[in-house]
Amino acid sequence: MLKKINFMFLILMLLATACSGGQATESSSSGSTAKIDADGHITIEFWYALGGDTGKVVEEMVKQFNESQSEITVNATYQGDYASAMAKVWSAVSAGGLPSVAQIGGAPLLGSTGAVAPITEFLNGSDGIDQNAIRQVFWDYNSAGGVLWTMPFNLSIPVMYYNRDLFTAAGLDPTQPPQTWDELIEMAGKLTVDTNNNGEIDQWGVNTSTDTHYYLSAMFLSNGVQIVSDDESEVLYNNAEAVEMLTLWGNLVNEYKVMPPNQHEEAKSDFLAGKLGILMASSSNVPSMEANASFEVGVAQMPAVNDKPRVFPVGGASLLIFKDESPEIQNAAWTFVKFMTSKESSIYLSTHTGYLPIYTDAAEWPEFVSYIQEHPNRGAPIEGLNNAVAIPEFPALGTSDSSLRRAVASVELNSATPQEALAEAKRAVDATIKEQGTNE
Amino acid sequence: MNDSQTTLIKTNPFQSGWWRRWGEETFAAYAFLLPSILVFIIFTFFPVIFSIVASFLKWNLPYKASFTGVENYTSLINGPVTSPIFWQSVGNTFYFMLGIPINMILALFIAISLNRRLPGVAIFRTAFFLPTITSMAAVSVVWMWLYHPADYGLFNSLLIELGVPVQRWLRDPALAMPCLILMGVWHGMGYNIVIFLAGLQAIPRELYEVAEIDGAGTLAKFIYVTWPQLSPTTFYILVIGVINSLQAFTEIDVMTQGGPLNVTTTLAYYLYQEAFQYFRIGMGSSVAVILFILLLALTLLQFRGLESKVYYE
Repeated sequence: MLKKINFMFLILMLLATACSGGQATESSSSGSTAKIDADGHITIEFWYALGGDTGKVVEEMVKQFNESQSEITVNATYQGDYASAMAKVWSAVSAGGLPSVAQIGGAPLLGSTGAVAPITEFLNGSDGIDQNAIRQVFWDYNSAGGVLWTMPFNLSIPVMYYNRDLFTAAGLDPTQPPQTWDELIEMAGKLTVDTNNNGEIDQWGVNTSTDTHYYLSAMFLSNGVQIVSDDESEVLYNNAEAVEMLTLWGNLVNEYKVMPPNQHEEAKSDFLAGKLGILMASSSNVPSMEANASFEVGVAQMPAVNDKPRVFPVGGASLLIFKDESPEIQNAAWTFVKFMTSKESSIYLSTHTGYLPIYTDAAEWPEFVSYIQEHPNRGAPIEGLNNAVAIPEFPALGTSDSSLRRAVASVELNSATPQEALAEAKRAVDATIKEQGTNE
Repeated sequence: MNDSQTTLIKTNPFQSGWWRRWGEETFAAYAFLLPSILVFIIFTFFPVIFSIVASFLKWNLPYKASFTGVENYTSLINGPVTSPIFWQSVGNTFYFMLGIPINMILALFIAISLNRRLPGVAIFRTAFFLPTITSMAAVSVVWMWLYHPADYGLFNSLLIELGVPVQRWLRDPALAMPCLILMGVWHGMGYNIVIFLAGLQAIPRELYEVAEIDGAGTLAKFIYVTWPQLSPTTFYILVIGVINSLQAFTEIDVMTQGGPLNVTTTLAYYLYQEAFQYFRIGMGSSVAVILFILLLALTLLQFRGLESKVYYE
């Protein structure tokens, strides 16, 4: 416990160095970690935020890059999950020691620090690439304040996982997952069972992972709710359409009783233990779910709201290049980013992890056609990309996400009505936007 | 030659009283202390001062810091958005401290039970100390399974055996904090038992023999010999317990993330949320300063109010 607090002070201290150095954010090259040898060989640092098996895939890709040419060496370092990596980048933005390239979530927001070299400059430069080859939604996801800052890398959408064995046991067709929320409620009812007849439900119909705001956002978008206003001055989820979705969510718990109240922390392990019929989670989990489940896993798109088209918010992380005074280092960083997001790398990443290919026509590439034939569960998320949108990256997005999670918990635990919960969320987020806006 | 030597000795400042008192040896002492003083200044003293300075800044990353005076403090105390959660976290912090007396009573009871020469007593001492040396993060993950809200959670299956309705433990706003306290007591008790045992073994046997000659029973011996003799130990455990409890973080971060509905958001966790989730460094620093003042006040209060009742030999 003590260590953790000391660690926080340490971070604050790191930030302090910047304060004394004045506006260190303006001259980011002062803390450059890249090196150019006498013979012109360039060594750059790369920070990434994917651990476990996915992290190993990233390391392998870096190794492939280093072996593919002899002018540039990339040193890759794991920096913890997105939140830890973000904290380290913030410290380095102020105190120096930034890498040349980083893989990080919420990256476009770093644009306003002045430390990021906008990717759009490289895309449009002499060594650029054809932007139309990559899906527009990913470019949107990497823009903030109208500027395209970062390069799409590992991306996902929310999807629905279902236990085919439990479907069969409940008399449902294991090849026909629910298409609408009404169908889901009906099927989840059949999947909610007291298996040992002790008066307590021990197999639930439906649940979501801990990032409840992500699935609620998908429902909002599918019901025509815009998350934030175009000028990013307020959030727009205290209207009838949003209340309708949060009411539906609350009803799953308190009216139809097919979802356990406030049990998202346990949802993934419950699903893998065969105690949950349907789980909403990120599409990046497909390989790990298939590897860890002892039953037949099915993957489908999240249900639609009646006959309205489905809309899914894109999640995941990006590659960004930090500014450096030396054009050689900047170009080396871009060469590396270009390699990591090339067609071949995209195929490698998407077939070795659960992340989605960034290229528009990837689903038609022969490599993918045969891959999806062998791994049919990867098909639904890739198809879902056609309905994906990017929620704008505004500075109060973190507060918005946590306020929505809080709203979900209040409704599930009956401590607020959906109207009250969303009004409260909007009040908190709008106040944060107002406060932050005056600090520029 | 002799003359000049005497003058030299007389005028040599290194031979004067000041140098003998403050020179050589003191210098050597500071030289030896230098590494730890440097570590202390760089990693403790400077960050503390810095976070006090930062608490007067409006510093929302990615924007630059600007001076706002006491605005962070006023918005914590009565701002429309931040104050409800701030005051709730102050309340939660005190609620969480309920674990201290429970822990102390149980630890004292177990320490007295273990303080005898019985075969196998070493095994029990080890068993009670084991949780304390286990990492809090690992303990938290395991206890999440014990506290699982469905009927296949370990505690719930026990309740079913007893015919009691199953509980939602950490996921129930009314039970989440008691659950954390219970686990904290289990985890921290071993340390207190060891300290109490050391205290018990330092009590001279003669005192008990005298008490027995005077006809004192078990209870009388505890009230008139053990308790007063143990008071320095008890006082130490109380002070350390309050400090540890105010800084509790790991179990909250792993098990509840401050939820459900903020009922387990203590000041230390709120500090983390402000500074490292929302990146409001100034606001987070203000919470840190308030936490520091609270800790200082509570410790002073304990020394002023209780130390007079502590019996030192």
